[in-house]
Amino acid sequence: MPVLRTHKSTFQTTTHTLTAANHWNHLLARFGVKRAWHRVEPGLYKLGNPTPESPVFVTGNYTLSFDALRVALSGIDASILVLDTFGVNVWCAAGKGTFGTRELINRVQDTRLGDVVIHRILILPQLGAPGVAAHEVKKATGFRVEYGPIRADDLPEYMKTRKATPEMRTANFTLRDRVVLIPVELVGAFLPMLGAILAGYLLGGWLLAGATATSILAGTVLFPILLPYLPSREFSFKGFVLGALVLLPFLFLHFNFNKEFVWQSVLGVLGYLLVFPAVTAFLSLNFTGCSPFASKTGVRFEINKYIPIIAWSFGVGIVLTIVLRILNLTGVA
Amino acid sequence: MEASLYIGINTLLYEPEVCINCGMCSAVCPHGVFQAGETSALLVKPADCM
Repeated sequence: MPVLRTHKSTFQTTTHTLTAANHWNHLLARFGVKRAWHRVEPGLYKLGNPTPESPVFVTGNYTLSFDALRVALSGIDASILVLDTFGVNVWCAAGKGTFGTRELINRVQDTRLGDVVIHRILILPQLGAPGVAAHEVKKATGFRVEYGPIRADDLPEYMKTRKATPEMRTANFTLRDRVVLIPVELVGAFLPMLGAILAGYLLGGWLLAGATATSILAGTVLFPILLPYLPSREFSFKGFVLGALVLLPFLFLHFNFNKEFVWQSVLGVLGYLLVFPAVTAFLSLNFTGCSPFASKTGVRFEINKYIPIIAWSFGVGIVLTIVLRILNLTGVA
Repeated sequence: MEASLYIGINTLLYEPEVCINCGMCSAVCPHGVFQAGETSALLVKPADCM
């Protein structure tokens, strides 16, 4: 259990509605601006006009998590106990133990929750479960942990029966779930991409610059969209396939421009095929961390298997492309 | 998109003989790795564990 110095508890009232500032904050979070600082103060929040009988919902202090919860609870008076997860979402925080047993017990005691409500039930998001030993919370605080659905949106339905359907309990990765991840990937890749495009241009003109941009955009934008439709169960292999597919028009153009020098254009095409699918595959491998099903051991397996291939392919391809360029400039070929 | 679309390598260990059949695992697992059984939980989709 990690020992963390968390922030002290606040006591505030909140609402079921989002302000323009909230929406702006969400947009910045989606684009990765000050990524770790989209936080609400940990502590106890009154949502609407809760009575001592009103339910208590527990969440992390990431604004997207907290706001999703309070909006979903539209029309429900409740208390919200916000744990200090350092601005990280519930699932990831549970994995690292900040959305965890110790913090939950401390926060219940710190806010004197036992004096605020008369029942002894805490409703936690299902994905908080990896970090929380419910029986220890019960022993230390007297509160029984109840796991609600995965998504806050399903809470009103859940509150009617206090039972989550199998659909509510299953993690999805829908097109929408995948598309919202694109901006932050794009922002992360943007500066290296500009540098790479410039390098591509200097080395081989617009065609090479275009292939550079395309392979990077394929790894950051197309990959999340096409994930379920690409062959293989390995992200890296999917990335190689996608990288090769988007490269086809460039190979065709390259071949067309260099028709009269056969061996040169064949080697040039080989250079493209070694460099660019490797770039797309690398970015695709990176995306495992965004998915709701890649296991740590699975990703380690992929890294050990594919990083050497990606590095060699990229390295040899770059050397080949540079040598061809030098031969071309010096008039040897 | 489903969990079975990943490569299925993980470190999951399950010892049915120490299971007290409380039902918590099948409730909280987002990929349905466990299912409620008669006397102990059933490990039905080990490859989907992350």
